[in-house]
Amino acid sequence: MGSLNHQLEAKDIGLRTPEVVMDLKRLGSFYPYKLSFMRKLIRKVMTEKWDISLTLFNLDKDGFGEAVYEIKTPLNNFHFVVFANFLDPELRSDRVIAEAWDMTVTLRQGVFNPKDLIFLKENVPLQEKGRMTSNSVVLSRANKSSRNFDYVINELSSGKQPCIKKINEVGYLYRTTAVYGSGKFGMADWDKVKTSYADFSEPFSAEMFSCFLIRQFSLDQADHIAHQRNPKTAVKLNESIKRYIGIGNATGLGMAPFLIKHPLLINNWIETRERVLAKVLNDTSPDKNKLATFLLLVSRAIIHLNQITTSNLTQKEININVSDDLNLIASYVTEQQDKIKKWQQVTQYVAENFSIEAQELINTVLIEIYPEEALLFEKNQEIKEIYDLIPEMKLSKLKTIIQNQYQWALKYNFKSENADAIFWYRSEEKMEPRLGERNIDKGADKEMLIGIARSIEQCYSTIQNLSPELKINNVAEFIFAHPEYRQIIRRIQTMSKTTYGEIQANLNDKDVLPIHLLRCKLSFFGVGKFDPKSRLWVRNTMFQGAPIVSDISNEYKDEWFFPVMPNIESSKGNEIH
Amino acid sequence: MKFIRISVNESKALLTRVCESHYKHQYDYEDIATIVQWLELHDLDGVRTLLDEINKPLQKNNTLTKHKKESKQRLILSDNSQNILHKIRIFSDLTLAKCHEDGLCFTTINNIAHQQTILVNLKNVSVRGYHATAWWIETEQKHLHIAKIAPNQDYPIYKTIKLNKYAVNLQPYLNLIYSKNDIQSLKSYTNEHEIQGESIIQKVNTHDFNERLFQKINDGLEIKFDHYQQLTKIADLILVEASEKSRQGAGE
Repeated sequence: MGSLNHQLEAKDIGLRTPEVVMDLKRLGSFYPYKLSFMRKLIRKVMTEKWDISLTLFNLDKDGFGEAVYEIKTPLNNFHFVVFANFLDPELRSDRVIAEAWDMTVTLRQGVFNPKDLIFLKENVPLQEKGRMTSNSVVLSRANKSSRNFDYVINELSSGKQPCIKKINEVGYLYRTTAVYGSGKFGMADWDKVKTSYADFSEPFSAEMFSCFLIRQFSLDQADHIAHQRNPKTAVKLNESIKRYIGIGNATGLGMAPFLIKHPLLINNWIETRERVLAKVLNDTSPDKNKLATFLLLVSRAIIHLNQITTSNLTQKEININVSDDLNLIASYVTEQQDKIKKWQQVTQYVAENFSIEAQELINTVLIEIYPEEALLFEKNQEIKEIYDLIPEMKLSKLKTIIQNQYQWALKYNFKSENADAIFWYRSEEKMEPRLGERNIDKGADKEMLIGIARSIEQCYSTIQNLSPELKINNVAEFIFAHPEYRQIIRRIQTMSKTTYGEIQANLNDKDVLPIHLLRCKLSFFGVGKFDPKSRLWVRNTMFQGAPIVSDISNEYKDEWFFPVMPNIESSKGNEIH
Repeated sequence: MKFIRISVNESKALLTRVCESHYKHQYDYEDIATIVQWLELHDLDGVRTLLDEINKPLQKNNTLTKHKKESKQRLILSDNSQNILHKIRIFSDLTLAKCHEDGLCFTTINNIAHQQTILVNLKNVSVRGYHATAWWIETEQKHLHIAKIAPNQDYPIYKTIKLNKYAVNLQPYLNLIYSKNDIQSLKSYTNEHEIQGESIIQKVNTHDFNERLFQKINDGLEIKFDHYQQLTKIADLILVEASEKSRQGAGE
């Protein structure tokens, strides 16, 4: 589809413009939604009733040892192998650069035999320093939340359920610090996973599933240790509390370049979300029931926001403000409900009066109350990430494309110090991306090509200043003279056929906030409860409120949306060994 | 000989870092890595070619070619026989653009090394709806290489023919013809050797290429360990020394 047609179609179906959607701050205000990867995965696991069972649970009294979960899906058999080792608390670190962890895991396909366990035991705990076989799909690790883990064990072993408010302060027993897939360390390539292991053919679903099982193991291990510690008095963790315990995650800059390096994929994610939203806004009308559901979910979102514990003052303020905004929006909708005939009336009111965060939260709620419309987009369209050059394109046409579709990139003045103050580089520590200050920090000569706005501006400026004597007519001739622009021109030509994909921000700016990039990606994963620790990394919680393995045979209600604390009396131990 | 098995994705990541390290941002390093990987995935010595080129001094931007001569439907480029990986796509792009304009372009690249790097480009010509033929002689072995692709194909048919006779002191060259229509005279030229009974020592078709790729996707690639070490060493040159400040992005 040509760019003009695409833009006309986008306008026709009421998609928001890229200028609105692709603004970095807005992307950093996205919340997990109905089609986030975790939600999709759990729907699949629950509706297909995957059979997940513990086939080995060889843990000592302190919970150290190995465990193997067997997973039978409609298409395949997998094993999730866990190694729980003693970790000196002084070595416990969330940094990706850590060398040892409380728990290391792998997800692998096929028959499992004892010899495999020997090989895995030698490699999985090493993580990046080990090698995996080509039937391994995911490699990951997690550390205990020292605050919560010991507290939960103590309570359970003495016959009490942990206080839900205390659980809420952290929200998980373990947090992952890295989840690797897609062929890392010799594992199965994505091309193999999506075809041969089709249960995980959705992007990141194998990685998400591994996090789901890390959470399950954390619950099983806690029950086990409590029982070992005091078999006579210990109780099992209440199932409602189990559901409210998620799996923590610490995400740093490592995730940020992904959004820049895969614009076609990002376009797909964002366009899907925007299409769902447009469909809800265009094709549905609020009736009494839907307005009631809307108000119910808004009030749940308010409670959810109020229950988030974060020491980050900015995030705290955002949560309070959005919560206040939601209260006002709820009052408006309640008062005006007889007059509200289209949802656009609500979104317009919200856009005119409230923050970007509140706007995006309301969009998420609107999508949530129309599952039938949203699930029309459930099946992911496979994207072939091909960025081929169109060498015969006239240079004048390329110039026009940049002027029309990359106007946002041309507005920065890269001669000013602030606009080019930051550079991105890879640290020698596990090759993780980092930020440096130009003229202050080392490494500018090894800068990563992350600043798309700057590359576009440089390319455009070179085209503008070409001498007519060179008689350069098309892109191939331009690249013959300036090969340094081949990469960015391929990107411009490809992305000009899409609506979204380019994040409209200068990532070299002095005040760039990479945390927006992280939160955007995490929202598509389905991660919530953002707890930023700086502008460079964020803690968050996955699968909080989601079903646990023992729920799989039960009827599934796809409602773990903005999880809130369950109403439980903390002293009651209702499930005794 | 020791080998290491790496996945396709690992090889792409490694080669991209190697190419970024060596070619910097002066060239389309991501695409150069794609070319190398394509060759490696299809058993066409991508890694060896890359290491060979890296060990030679890199031609600078302004000496991309010694000459570029153009007339309608004809392009003659002179290379310096040193490195081709960072230029082959540019030469192919020029040929394709000219073919788009004139319906056909016959390009000769003189003094060129590693002509097999053109093979990956042929698919790009094909997906645009053109026919493409590439041929060259490997002088030492007296091998004629011919690769042909029709529109909308994933792979060319690639033949290597042992020649009974050929002109001595032939400079290394690569001929390309990209055209809107299939060229019958070219077909007869490229078939001529078969007719003359010269032995085809290798014929690789779509099925063979696919099989090679499928095997790598399934099992990964086996790379000579010393090649892997050389690549890693070059790739690591793009890394920056860690400091307490750099660790601020790495969690608490």
